[in-house]
Amino acid sequence: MMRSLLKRDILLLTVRGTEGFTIILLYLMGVFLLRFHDYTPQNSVAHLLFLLFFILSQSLGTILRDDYRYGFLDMIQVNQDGFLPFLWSKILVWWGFAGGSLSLISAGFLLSQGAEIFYSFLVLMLSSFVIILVTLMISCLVLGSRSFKGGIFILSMPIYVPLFLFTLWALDPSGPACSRQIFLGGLGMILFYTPLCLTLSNKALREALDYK
Amino acid sequence: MIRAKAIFCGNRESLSKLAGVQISEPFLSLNSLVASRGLSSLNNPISLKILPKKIYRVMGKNGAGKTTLLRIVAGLKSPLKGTVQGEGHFCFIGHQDCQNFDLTVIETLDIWSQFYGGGSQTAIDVFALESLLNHPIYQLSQGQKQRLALARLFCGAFNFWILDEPFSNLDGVWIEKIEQLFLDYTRKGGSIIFSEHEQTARLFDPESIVLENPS
Repeated sequence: MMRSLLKRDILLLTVRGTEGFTIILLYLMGVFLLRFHDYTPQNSVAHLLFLLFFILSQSLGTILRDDYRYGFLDMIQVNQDGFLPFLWSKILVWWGFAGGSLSLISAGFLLSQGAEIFYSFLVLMLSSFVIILVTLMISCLVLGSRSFKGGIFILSMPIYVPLFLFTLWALDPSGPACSRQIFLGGLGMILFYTPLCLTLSNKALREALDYK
Repeated sequence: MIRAKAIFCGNRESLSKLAGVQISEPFLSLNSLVASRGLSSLNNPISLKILPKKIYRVMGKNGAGKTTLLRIVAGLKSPLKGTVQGEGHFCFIGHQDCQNFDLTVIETLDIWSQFYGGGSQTAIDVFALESLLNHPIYQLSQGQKQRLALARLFCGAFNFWILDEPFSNLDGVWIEKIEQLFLDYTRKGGSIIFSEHEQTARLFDPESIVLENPS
């Protein structure tokens, strides 16, 4: 079943849908605009992360809304007790495509600024995973809420605080001394976010179907 | 507030079976089920056993609660009162029929058959989709989309089907073909619960649950 979900998400994001290319195009435009500012490598990573957050949060909500309207979530709920395979499929495909390709674009940009590539690439990859996880969860919560959708979106914002703290720490010149420390810090952050986001997303989607 | 009542009708033989004698284990038992929209109940309590080899029809006008009732039976929605018990591998086809308009017919069928662990060739043959395989779904007519939606029934092995208005948008020839498919499926031991607006003569004689909304 997981194979079919992955295949569908890859098709919709890249081959049949325009979502994937819109994301890359928007990101390239953002990176291009960054070139006109005299940023330090650390500042550039922070701005790229913000750009990543902005684009992904805009795109993921639409994808879930289509699955909800077209009854794809019904099909999953009827066949499975829960949405975990569906959520993992979304996370992996989006991270692989959006997170991966955008991090590569960023690495190219940072190389031109003389930044340490592996270091920055690691921060971007780990952070993009969390951004996808959290934005997916917020999309699920918004989908599942009967009213006050905008309020839920705003109230969910503090969930980004640990990610924000990780980014500050990772990009601070007096922060981690090596990539291994960043990797361990990022892993801790992922272990904190993954169960929380998946549990809440699962419940929110169930609630969304009950409301339909 | 909308008040609704449920009337259970059907042929005498099947009613007597439901009243007392069980022909075999039911796939599902609906126990005093009450559907709701918001805080308003849509029907009087419905009790029904979904038995193998049987066809059930939920009838009612627009807004009577047919879709809501079927979604409850499929476990997609919580009832206001009552329970749904039982288990079985079933397929639910609602109004939203799992078709993403950007995908082609063959991509959609492949995804469904992988999802359910079945094949797509039977579905292609039964619903005459061969010539449409490489068409994106947005190019299909409403009737062709409905045929594609119903093709999902043949992408896996299911004990029973739950279908929300399966005959809508189909021409006479296809309606008759689908009726024949219903008969073949129940002969093999499957059971079907479907909805439609009003009593229509069919090749089969279903048990009917009528949802009425007195204004």
